[in-house]
Amino acid sequence: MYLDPGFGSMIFQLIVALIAGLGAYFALAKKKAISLFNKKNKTNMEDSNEERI
Amino acid sequence: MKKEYSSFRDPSGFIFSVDNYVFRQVNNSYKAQYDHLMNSGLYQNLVTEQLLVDHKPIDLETNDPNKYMVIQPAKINFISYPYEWSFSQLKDAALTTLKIHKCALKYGMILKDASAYNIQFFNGVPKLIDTLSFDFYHEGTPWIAYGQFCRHFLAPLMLMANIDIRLSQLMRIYIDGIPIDLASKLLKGKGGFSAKQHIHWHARAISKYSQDGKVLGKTRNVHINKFNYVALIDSLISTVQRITLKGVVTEWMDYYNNTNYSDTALKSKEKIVSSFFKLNDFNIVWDLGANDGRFSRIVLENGASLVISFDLDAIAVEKNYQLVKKYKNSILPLLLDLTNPSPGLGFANRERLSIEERQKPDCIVALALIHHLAISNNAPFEKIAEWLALLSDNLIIEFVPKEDSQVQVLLATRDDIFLNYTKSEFEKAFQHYFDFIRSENILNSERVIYHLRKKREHE
Repeated sequence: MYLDPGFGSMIFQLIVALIAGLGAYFALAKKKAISLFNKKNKTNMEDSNEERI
Repeated sequence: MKKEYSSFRDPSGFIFSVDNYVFRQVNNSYKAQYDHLMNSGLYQNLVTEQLLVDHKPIDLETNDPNKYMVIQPAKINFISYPYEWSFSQLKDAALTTLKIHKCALKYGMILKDASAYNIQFFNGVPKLIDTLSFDFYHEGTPWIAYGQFCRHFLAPLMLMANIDIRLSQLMRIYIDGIPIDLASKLLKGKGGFSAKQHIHWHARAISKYSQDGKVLGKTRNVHINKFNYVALIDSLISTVQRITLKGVVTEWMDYYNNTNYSDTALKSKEKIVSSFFKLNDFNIVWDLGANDGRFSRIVLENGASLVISFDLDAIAVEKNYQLVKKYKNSILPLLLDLTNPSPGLGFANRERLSIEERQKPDCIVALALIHHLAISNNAPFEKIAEWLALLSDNLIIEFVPKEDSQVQVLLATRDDIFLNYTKSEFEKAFQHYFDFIRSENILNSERVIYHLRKKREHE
């Protein structure tokens, strides 16, 4: 390691990484919820199609 | 064997040249990292994605006990520095750095430095040129180059986008990037939440913990898990992508719509420049005062293999870069004030080279430039001729007479002290250094284009 990372920058990185991590976590949760909702909708539609047949 | 002065910092290896061929020595201390880079598939992936410069191993005898191996990287046409780049060049270099860092992580490695000087342009494509910039990723360890990335990329980009595009020139003063506290003061709270995080809060943290770092081993307590580490890289990528230039207007951005050329004159000028190049075999050309590179393209179409397009105006260079990116031309647009060109900088003034130390072009093109140097900058013809003769053996130069409306604009707000600004005085001064090979008048104008060749006694 030849680069001086700077102690302030290293400590501070904890905070920005945490903020980024939280953002990524919620984005992931949102994506999962949407895909779950879409899946449910799809199943419902398939069920109603089957009923029609 | 000539060791490159600028590569003295990294203990992993160094750059050297033999007979104008550039090589990189990989030291024994970097063996494990180099082997992993090459054998894990990371190198191949990065080269395929045009993110890293390719290289080949070379069997070169040296008696250095530190040597693990020697590699020969692909040739770089012209080394340029971040203070010579337009906004988008710096932005694309930042994105390349982050993409490489993210890709390396998939192979268990990281970028151990985020220096803008490690990126160079190949036909409009920014690539990492330092093959020894990789290190192993250790879970929990923060990104060692985060501070450097903020200084080299985020700070100048945010200052250019939010305050003034000319602030990129701070990179010329601060060779290791713009200090975060200075960027914070200059930004004055602008730049949104991204600037708040990476610049303003970051500056406060640096100041608050400036003494704590001296306590040995304290950095070892900083632990960032992999999920947050990747999230930080992604967040930096989207931060950089969101920084854009808004409503920047400069003096030169509409140059070709605001000139006094008639269609006939412009076509005549293009024809003359084309014919001068067809008659000669110039490989590397520097276009001084190139604006958006209109004539650089004509030069390229008529035989040149590489054109470096210099201009003073940041938006003109930006426009030129966008065109180069689109058409993948071998043109390198760079920002340069010809009245104060890039000097030798850094340790012993030798880490970053002055413009004339980097390359000697086969020909210099200086169209519609002389009046700016002679009248706006008060430089005598003699001095201009001497400098241009120092740079290249061939010169294609346009003389713009005093009667020309563009010169009259320059004289409108000042006393005309330029009694020697005449065609005959111009020819007399340049004859001292150059032989006049040919000259042609531009139709429908008073302007003349000359091809001059440097006199033997000045070579």
